[in-house]
Amino acid sequence: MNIIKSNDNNDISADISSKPRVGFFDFASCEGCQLQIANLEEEILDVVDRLEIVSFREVMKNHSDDYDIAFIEGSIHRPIDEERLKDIRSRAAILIALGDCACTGSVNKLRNDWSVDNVKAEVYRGAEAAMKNNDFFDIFPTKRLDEVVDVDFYIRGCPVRKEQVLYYIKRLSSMPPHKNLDLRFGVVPRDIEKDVRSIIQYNPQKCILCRHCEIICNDILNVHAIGITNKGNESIVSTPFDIGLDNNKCISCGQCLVNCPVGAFTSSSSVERVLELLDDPENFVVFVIDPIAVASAMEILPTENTQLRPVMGSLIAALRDMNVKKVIDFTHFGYLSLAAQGEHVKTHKDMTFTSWCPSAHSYIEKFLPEFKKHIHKETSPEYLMLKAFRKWYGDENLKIVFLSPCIVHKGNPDFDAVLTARELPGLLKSRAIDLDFYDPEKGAFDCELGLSSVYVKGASSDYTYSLPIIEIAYMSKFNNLDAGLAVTTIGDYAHELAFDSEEGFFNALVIEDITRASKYLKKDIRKYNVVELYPCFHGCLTGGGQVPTTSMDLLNKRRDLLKNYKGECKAKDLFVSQIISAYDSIKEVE
Amino acid sequence: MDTKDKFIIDTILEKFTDMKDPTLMILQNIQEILGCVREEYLTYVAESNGYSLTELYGIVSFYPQFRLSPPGKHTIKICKGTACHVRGGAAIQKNLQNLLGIKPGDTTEDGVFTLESVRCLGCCGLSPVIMIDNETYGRVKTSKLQEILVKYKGVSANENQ
Ligand code: SF4
Ligand code: SF4
Ligand code: FES
Repeated sequence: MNIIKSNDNNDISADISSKPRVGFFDFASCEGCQLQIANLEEEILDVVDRLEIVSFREVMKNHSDDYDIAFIEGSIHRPIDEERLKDIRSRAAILIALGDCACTGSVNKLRNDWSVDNVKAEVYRGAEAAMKNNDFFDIFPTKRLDEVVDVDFYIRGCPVRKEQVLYYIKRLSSMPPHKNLDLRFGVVPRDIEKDVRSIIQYNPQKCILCRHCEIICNDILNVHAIGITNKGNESIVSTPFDIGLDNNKCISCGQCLVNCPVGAFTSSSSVERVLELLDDPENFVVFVIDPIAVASAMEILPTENTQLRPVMGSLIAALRDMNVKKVIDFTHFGYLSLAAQGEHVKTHKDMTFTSWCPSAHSYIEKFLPEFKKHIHKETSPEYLMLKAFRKWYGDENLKIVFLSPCIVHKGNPDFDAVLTARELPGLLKSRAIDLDFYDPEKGAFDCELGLSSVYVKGASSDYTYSLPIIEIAYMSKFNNLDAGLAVTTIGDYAHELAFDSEEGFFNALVIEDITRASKYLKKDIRKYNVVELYPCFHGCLTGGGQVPTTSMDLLNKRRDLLKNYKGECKAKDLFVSQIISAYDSIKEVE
Repeated sequence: MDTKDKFIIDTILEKFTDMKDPTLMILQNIQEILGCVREEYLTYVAESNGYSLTELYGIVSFYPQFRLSPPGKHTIKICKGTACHVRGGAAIQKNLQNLLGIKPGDTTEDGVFTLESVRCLGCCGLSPVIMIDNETYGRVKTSKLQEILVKYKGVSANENQ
C-alpha cells in the first residue's frame, strides 16, 4: 500500500493495491496493549492477511524501518524517547496512539505531581552514581504522544480492546482513512448492557471511551454525575456503585450526549407517543415549537430550503395535515416570561435567578440549595404557557407536544410528549411526509395572544449576556435603560450588568460557565438583583436535544438561521405594549 | 459509620492536607488501615473533602489493588502480567475461581480467601505466579492449586464448591 498524507489538510489517501506495512512500537508502558494484538488468536491470521508486519518486538525478531503505519504504545519520558518517536513519525504516514498511556499519559502521568528529582530519589535511592550521565535515566515529566508529534488516530483503553484494534486494522487496510473522522470509526459491540434507567441513556456497545462526556460533566459543569469506571475491557461510563444518573445528581442537561462523538448517549424517543396522540381523534393536540430546535433539526431534515422561515412554514402546514389542532410558537411565551420576570424584579428587591432553564434550576437545587428560594418557576415560559393553554383550550382532551432543544423537559409530566430536534425527522418520516411538498406560505403559527411579530432577541436563543437582562428591563418599562447600562466582565465567563432606572438601581450577574461561576455564585451573590446562568455552552443552541456537534461553524450557522428568521422589530414600543397586555391577560388565570 | 472509622479517616485526610493531589494516597492509606475502601468510606471522604464520589469510584474501580469489601483471612493474588499471561495465568485464574467459587475481587463466604488479579508481580522468571499473603508461588500448575490452598485452610478447598 502506498499511503500519501497531504500536508495542507491532513487528508490521507492510499493506494490499497498492496498490503500496508505496519510497525508496532512501545515506549514507557506495560506492553499490555500490544499483548492484546499478540493475543488475537485465530484472528491474527486475518491481520497477517491484510498487513505486512515489519516490526513488532513483542512477537518477532525481525525489524525494518520501512513502514506506512505505526502503532505506538506508551508515553514519553526521556529525550531519547522523544527523538525515537520523531523518527518513527517521519517514516510513518499514519501514526496511531495505542492505549491510554499513548493517548493521555494515563498512569504514567501520575508522577508528574512530583519533581523529577523527587521521583528519582524515591525509586532509585542509592543508585545515583549509576544514573549519572546515563541517558536511560535522563527523564522529564511524562508526555503523551501528541505532546511530541502529530497523532492521526487514538485508540483508547487500558488495555485497548482487541476487537477495536482489529477493526482499525481492517478499516485502514480497506479504505483510506480521513483524519477528521477518526472518532467516527465504528466500534465492535461488547457484551455489556445498555443503561436505560434515565432520560439520558448510555450504550456501552458504542462507547469508545474518549471521555468527552465525563470531562464535560465533571470538569466543566462540576456536576460529577458520570465517570469512567472499571478497567480495560470492562471500562464503561457509569456512576459510583452503578446507582444510576438520576441518583447521582445528573441535571439532565444532555451536554454529555451532544458532545459524544459516536452517539453512545441517547435520549428516550417520544416519536411513538406522539403518533399515538395524533391517532386518537378525541385528542386536541397542541404542538409547541421552539424555533431553536428547528434551526438545529435542519441539519438532518431532508429539505431543499436553506432558511428557517420557509422550513418553519412547511413544518406548520405539515403538522396541521397530521391532525395537530394548534401550532404554537414557544418564543411567544418567552416574551411573556420576560414581562413576568421584569415585574418580579421590580417588586422584589432580593436576588432572583432568571434563567428559564430547568437544568439550571436543578443545578441550583442540587448544588446550591441555600439559593433554592431565589428560583421563581412561576415566571418561566412553560409555566405561563400551561396556564394560558388551560385558559384557551380547557384541559379535557388537551394534549401538549413540545418540540424542544432540551431533553430535560422529557421529565416534565405537564407535557404529553417532548420531541427533540433529533426526533423531528423520524416523526415526519413515519408519516411519509416530505416537507418540501408543503407550501411555506400556508403555514403560520396560531397565536391567541395577539402578538404581531416574531421579534425577540436574547434569552431563549443564546445567552449572549446583555440581551436577556436588557429585554427584561425593557419589557418592564425601565425607560431610561439604554443610557444607564454598564457591563463589566468580572471573569472570563462572568459579567456584571448595572443599570439605573426610574425605579432605582439594578444590577445583574450573567454566568456563561457554571464551573467557574460557582465561585461567583457563592460569593456575595445576594448583592445582585438578577442572576442568569445556563449549563449548556452557547445556551439552548447546543441544548441536550439538539443534533450533536462540537463544530463552531455549525453553531454559527444555527445562530445565523435564527437571526434571519427573527428579523428586526420596527415598532418596538408597540410590540412591548402588546406583550405587557398579553401578559396581563394570562397573569390572573388560575 | 462508626466514630472510630471516622476518626481514622479524618486523621488520614489531615495528614495529606498539604499534598498536591493526594487522592490515591488517601485511598491507599484508608485501605491499609481499615482493610478496604467500602462505599461509606468513599462517601465520607467525598463529603468531607470536596472530592466527587464519581471520581473516587472511578479510581478504586480502575486499580485492582483496591477492595470494596473487607478481605478474607488470606489474599490470593493471581498475576495477570504479560509473562504470566503468556504462560497460562488465565488457566490458573479459571481454576482458582472454580475451586473457590468466587471471582477476582470477591471473598469466599467463610471469609477465608480473597481472590485478586494483579499486574506483574515482578518475578516474571517464575511465571505463572500466584501470591498468597506474602508467600510467592512460582511455576504454578493448575493441578497443584488444591494442594496449596489446603495449607491455608486446614481443610480441603473442595468444601467451598
Ligand atoms: S446530562 Fe448533564 S449532568 Fe447529566 S450526566 Fe450528562 S452532562 Fe452530566
Ligand atoms: S463521549 Fe461518548 S464515546 Fe466518549 S466516553 Fe463518553 S459515551 Fe463514550
Ligand atoms: S508477569 Fe507475572 S510476575 Fe511479571
